[in-house]
Amino acid sequence: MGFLEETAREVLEFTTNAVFSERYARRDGLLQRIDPRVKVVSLVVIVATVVSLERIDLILAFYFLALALAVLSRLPVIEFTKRVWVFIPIFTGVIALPSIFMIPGEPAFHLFGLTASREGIRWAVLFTLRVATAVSYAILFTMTSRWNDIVSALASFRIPGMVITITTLTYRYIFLLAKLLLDAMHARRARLAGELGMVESWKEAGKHIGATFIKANALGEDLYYAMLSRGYANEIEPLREFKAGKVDYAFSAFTVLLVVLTFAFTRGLL
Amino acid sequence: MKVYELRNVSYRYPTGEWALRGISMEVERGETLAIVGPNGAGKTTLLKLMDALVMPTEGEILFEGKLITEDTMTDKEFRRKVGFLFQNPDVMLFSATVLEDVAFGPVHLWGKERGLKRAREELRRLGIEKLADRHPYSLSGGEKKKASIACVTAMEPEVLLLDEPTRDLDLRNRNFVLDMIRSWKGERKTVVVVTHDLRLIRLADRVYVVNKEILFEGTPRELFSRPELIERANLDVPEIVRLFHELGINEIPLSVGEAVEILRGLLQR
Repeated sequence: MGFLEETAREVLEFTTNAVFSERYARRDGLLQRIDPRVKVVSLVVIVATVVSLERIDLILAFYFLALALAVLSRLPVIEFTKRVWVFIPIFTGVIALPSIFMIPGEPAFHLFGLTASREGIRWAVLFTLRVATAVSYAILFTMTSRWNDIVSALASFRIPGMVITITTLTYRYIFLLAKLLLDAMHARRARLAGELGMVESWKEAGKHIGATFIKANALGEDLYYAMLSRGYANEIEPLREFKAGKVDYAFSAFTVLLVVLTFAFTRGLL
Repeated sequence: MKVYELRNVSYRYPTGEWALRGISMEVERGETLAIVGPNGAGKTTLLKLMDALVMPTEGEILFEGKLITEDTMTDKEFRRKVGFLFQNPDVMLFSATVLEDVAFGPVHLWGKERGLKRAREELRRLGIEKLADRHPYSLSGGEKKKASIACVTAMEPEVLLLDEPTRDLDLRNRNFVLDMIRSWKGERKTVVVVTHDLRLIRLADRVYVVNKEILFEGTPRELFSRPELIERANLDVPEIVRLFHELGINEIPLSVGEAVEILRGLLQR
């Protein structure tokens, strides 16, 4: 199976199972009950706090808090952890690993003529943990929120309607186009005897991408006509309205308390 | 009363190719009109012209006696009166939930509160209220078609433009669409349907055969009496019609029931 086919299949599988079924967002857990506006603000505040922290123990505390929230929201902890850590090696490999050898300091070990410093290792661990914790909160938010709630929450923060419309349309159609792409690749595979070489395979992938762009263009034009036909006048009004309840106020208070305590702790006030 | 009047309408694609040449036709209020023709004959373009989504290169189109212009594109009253069911339901379902898609038109016409109420009513009326919170991506083909019909009917249109409404549907869903068209016919709504489906053609009061220009205008019975036209329209000849042609019987039935009646009459004579 070629790289492009594998990617399209993975994207489709992931979205179908995890996103569109909204199976976790429909569960009766703690974060699912919270107003998405509160979740958006809390997420931003917590992530900003995490990335500003210099202490590994405190970042670890935030990471375990994310795991606790996942359990309270009835998310499968193993799948949640896998989703977080699947991206981390990429960051670690590209950014954090070289810094082990580049940051000057007390030598820790030697590898292929390069010297790793203790400060470099500390920075790499700190960076990796920060990214992992920030990603954990972002994934917590997306796994426990339904897409239309996220969009409506963004709208209530006065984000321009056009931006929300474009986001919604992108989200809706990128997967449809991925499905078209996968169907086209299956059709090609059905007529193909043996395996293509790498160069041939990339040439074929290029053709598929070109055809998908043409289909996307035609789809986009018809989509605009379909909207126009139903009275569209360059604006879409968000339909969902939220009303904050006790659990929302409690979660907001918890977030504020968490941040205040963290800063008090880092400044030696506690 | 005439709902549509097309006077010598032509349309050229941006590529320079003509999609339609010199189309003149009328649509009466309350009639069901079928437009048939081979693929690439310009049938969908004709519907887009009638829905003021594209403007003719030559000629003019009148809706209820008023000339369709660029301003008609965003005219709320026109949009309420005319509903367009696209062939591909994926282009009609672009929101995060089915309810939001069905409410899209009504909200633009009547505002959020009334629009949402109307959308919920329509989902209930069509028996698909269980789809309200579903994402359109997760629907089956039949569910998508039903949801896209709800998107159109929620606006309470008086004129329905339908582009291949039964295409790619299984028998049950095809029957659902046919029943909807029968009910619109019963309510004296004006229906213009582009189709290759013989069951739909039988429902029509009049048929136009189009292949960039009008080749024929008449009743379904008249169309089925002319095999050469059916061939030019790239339509399947119904087996029962073929049998009557082979037997040299001039009277053409549109259903098995009618065929039985005709044959009984001939035998009695």
